[in-house]
Amino acid sequence: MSISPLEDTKADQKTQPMTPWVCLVWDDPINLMSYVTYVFMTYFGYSKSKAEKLMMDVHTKGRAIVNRGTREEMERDVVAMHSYGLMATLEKATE
Amino acid sequence: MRGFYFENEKRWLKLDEVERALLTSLISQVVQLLKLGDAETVDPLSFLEDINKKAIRPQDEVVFRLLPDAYADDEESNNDFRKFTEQSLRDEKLAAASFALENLPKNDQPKEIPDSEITVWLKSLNDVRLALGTRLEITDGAVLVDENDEEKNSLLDVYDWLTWLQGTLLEVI
Repeated sequence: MSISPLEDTKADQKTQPMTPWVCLVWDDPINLMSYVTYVFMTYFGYSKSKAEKLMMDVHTKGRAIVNRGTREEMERDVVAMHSYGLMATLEKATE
Repeated sequence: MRGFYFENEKRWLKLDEVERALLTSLISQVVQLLKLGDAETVDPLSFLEDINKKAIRPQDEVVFRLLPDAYADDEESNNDFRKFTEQSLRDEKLAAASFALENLPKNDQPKEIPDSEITVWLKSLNDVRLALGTRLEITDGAVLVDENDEEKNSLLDVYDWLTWLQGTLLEVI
């Protein structure tokens, strides 16, 4: 008895991370803290506590990862953040 | 000087004549920047599709702040990203600005602001603050008044007023 190579491949695809990109929001001196929190709640649907924590991470650490996904998904998020006026970039996840 | 406020279970915007004129002027300037700021880099056929093959990093720092890069350190990806997304982002910001211009109160009477309009009001007011704040080179939230520069000081007053106005809306959502 042996496991077919085809099944092996499928199993690998399942366990490999399919979403190695992140959307980062950067601190900037103009956007209001309450506005940034509002954007995270409205666009990502995050709870107020999660949105406030992310906003404080942006504010105190200079930047924060606000979402993870495929490159296409992160591009959509970055465009959306820019439409709200937030500084956002995407990059390959390193962790 | 009432701004956005909540009364009788509804949200309202009330602005006096000076404030309405100021906001109209500021939003119109953002429209001008987005329409004309990089006219030479706008592909005349880009209206056919949301792709602008000529899109490059805006030279004007204010326009660049409104239409920023999508990659921190990757010029080629940034250029590609602009070709495919900048035109629609420009159009969306222009639409928000036009909406605000058309829907500002026309007189001293308060105007009702429904839930469905909160986001577009916030976006358009925020773009004006971004544009003015970038022009004033605001760097850390705290603003230094220069006693010898009256024009800058009056613009700083306008910036503070915009901050106050956007804050009143954020308080009633």
